[in-house]
Amino acid sequence: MLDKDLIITQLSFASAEEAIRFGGKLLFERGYVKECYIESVLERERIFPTGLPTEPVSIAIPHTNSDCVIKSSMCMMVLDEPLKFSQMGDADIPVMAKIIIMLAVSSAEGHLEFLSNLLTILSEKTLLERISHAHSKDEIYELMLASGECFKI
Amino acid sequence: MGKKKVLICCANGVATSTMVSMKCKNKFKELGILAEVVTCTSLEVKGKAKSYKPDLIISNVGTNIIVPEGIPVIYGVNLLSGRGAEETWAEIVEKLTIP
Repeated sequence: MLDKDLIITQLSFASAEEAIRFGGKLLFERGYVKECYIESVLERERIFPTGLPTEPVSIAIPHTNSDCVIKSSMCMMVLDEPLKFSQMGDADIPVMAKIIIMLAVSSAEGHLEFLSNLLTILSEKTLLERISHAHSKDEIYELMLASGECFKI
Repeated sequence: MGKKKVLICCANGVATSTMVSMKCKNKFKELGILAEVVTCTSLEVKGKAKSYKPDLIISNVGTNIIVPEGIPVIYGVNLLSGRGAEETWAEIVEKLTIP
């Protein structure tokens, strides 16, 4: 589920949209999603925002329905400066996300363990802190693998 | 106390509702609460609530959803972010343990 080439650190973008386009393009180029994925995620993000005020840094988990997904995966982007998203379930609350995890979730049942493990990670303060300060994809990859067997491809 | 039913909805019915449902299953097991968990999209929630008749709905798209009267709706995003999660669990447990 975890493709090291889809972990990118030290990124900076002018907007959340720019970041989503960047991550979406990577997922597309690596064959995990169809071309419609990017626009679909952007539209979904406008209607159903995905910012989560996790601690110590906030995150966003942009995603869309499985129609545009070929194979479940995720693209993790660690930003130099947080970007403004809106909080899931309450668009009036801004969330300054330092880590963006774009999810590509297929309708197959196999993604359950992956999502469950990802959630555990999202609620681990120390791990999020370490990811947010990581300088390389290798560092994050190791941290993630140490946190859950299911992240192995 | 009979088996309770929990309906969890999110925008797409695949990602965050699944995450919260896994969390709920673990928590219910830990606390010895007998409850079944089902997920759906925010578009399906009204119809699903009518047919499934849950004791509680957990919504990841805000509490401003249209559901049949009398079914409590709890905002589930705290369970994802961890911030305020204890309060949200307490609320969920309370709704599921009232006779």
